[in-house]
Amino acid sequence: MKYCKKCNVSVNSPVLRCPLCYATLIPRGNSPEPLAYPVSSQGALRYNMVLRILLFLSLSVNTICITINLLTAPGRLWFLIVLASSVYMWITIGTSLRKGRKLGFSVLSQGICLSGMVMLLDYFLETHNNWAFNYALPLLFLCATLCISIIVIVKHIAIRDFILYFVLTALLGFIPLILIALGLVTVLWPSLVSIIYSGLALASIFIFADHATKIELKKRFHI
Amino acid sequence: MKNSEKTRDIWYQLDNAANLFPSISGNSNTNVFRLTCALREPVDPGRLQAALEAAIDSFPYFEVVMRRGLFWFYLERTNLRPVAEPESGRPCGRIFYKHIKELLFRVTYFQNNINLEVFHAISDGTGAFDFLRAILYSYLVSAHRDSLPEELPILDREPPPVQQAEDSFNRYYTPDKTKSPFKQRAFTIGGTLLPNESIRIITATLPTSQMLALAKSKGVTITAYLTSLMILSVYQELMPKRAIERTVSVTVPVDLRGHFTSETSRNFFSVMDIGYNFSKGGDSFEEVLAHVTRKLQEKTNPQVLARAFGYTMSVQKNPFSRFTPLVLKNHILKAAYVKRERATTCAPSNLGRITMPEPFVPYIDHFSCLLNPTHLHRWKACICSFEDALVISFTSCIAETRAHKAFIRHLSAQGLDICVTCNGGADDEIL
Repeated sequence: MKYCKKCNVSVNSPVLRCPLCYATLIPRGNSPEPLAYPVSSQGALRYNMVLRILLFLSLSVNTICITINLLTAPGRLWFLIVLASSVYMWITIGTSLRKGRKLGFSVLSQGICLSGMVMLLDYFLETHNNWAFNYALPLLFLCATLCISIIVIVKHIAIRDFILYFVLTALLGFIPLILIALGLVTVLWPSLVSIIYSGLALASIFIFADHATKIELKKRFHI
Repeated sequence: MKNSEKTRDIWYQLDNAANLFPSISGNSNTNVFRLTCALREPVDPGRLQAALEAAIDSFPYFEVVMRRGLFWFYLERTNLRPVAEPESGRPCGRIFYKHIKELLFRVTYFQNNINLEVFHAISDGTGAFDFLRAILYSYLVSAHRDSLPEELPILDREPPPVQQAEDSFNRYYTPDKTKSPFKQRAFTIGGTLLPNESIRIITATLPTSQMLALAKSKGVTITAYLTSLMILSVYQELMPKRAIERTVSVTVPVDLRGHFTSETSRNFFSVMDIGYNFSKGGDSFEEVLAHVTRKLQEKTNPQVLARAFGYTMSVQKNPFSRFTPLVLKNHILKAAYVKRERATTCAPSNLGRITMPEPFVPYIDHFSCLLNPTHLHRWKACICSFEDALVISFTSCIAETRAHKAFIRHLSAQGLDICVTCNGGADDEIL
């Protein structure tokens, strides 16, 4: 035990100065002061060099592209494609590298990001045949739902572990329905395939759902 | 081995207070609090593990993991078993990670101390203390069976599992559609942040009887006395002259179990904001104390308390917040939380008197509690007492100890015998 004259308190930690006022402590008694907490083993914060190089590269590439684009062809903003690709790359890195991330989540996020990408490409490449709405989007959604179906079947994963992403990905497949209603689709069959497959996938969940799956649905979608 | 599929079928919606925590937690703002029981003998790890396993069976509500739904987080029962480990890392260190399914509490030991660290989303101080006392009960029974009486005393609070998991906010709230009560911005403590998210812990132990006598001599409660002292210390030591127009406001948690019948182990607390503006009132301790005592009396009325959580319940129940997907809700909650924290300066919290059945008392030295400081609430205090040991634990994430000094010197000047301990050793760079 030690004593601080200025604060008028005894101090029972292995320190030489008062933790309150930094005055030198006076020893009292011979018993050594115990540590109140183990010496903290906190290391330095993590520093990921590879990710930082990638971040710096995408920053430089985008800055250079924007400058060149605006100097040479200010009417045609192609740098947006470069920018979108970088954003897509970072979303992919973010969703797949994080600890504990689910496969289902990756499929869903890829489905959403890639559909954004193809619409942007279609817009800038000015293909005039609407390939994004006619082919790319419906087939992309079809692939995503198919992917999850295959994962569930092949990996023998209980459907309840995948239910949230399964339902959300299947719901994506209905987006072509909205596109048809808006008159943006000229070639019908890819959209129809996507809608029908999604509808059947959703129906299968509800038809084959056992008690556990129903509870899982309730948990995941409770409001 | 329990059937894991069956276990997973049991799940709980988060309660009103808990909804916030998973969205705002990170490396520095961990929302973890620690309860410590200091025994009078070194902890036996094997016994502690056995005691922990016995306790978790009577508190099954704690055996949960956090999961994410489309609209809300929720808790799911699990078969993961808790393991008592030697203490390492910083106190109140991070427990919850969004993508990792782990138990939301941790039991550690160091020399004579048994620590229970809990992520605030599953329980509050009272609920966690019930669990810690159940662990201690099993531990002490196994360690000292021979010297304990033949007929063992029972713990006063060991509710059936269904009542442990009750959402008492939902049971007692009445809708309140008033505007947000958290408008005004209070003074926020500045200071030099400690490196690497580390925290400074300074603990003052004093005789409960002396503190009680001191509070009684002023005709106030210990909570009122120490809360006023905290407000005054912030004003004297941490508040720059130019900020004097700002209110020094503290947020004092109240255990609602004292006002509404409930045996829940989940969160069931509300907070009272007590503010004092030094540009409008005098700066003597007596003036602050009189103001704080009056405000505490006004606000501990059950109707006022019900109104406080009635507002947050109404926000949670309105269709807009219900149907906002969780990814968006996380950001909205973060913003709301920052606004809420800025309405107050710091947080003193009084857990009150901790009791154990009489035959166990000789084996326990004291209890203490630590709260994790945040970048907006840089100085926190938690008070609890056991027998004649009142422990005030300060945690802060800044290097300055001026406010601690003012606080403790005020008490020692009143003739109280105070013993101070701190984290870190003689060669610690943060000191």
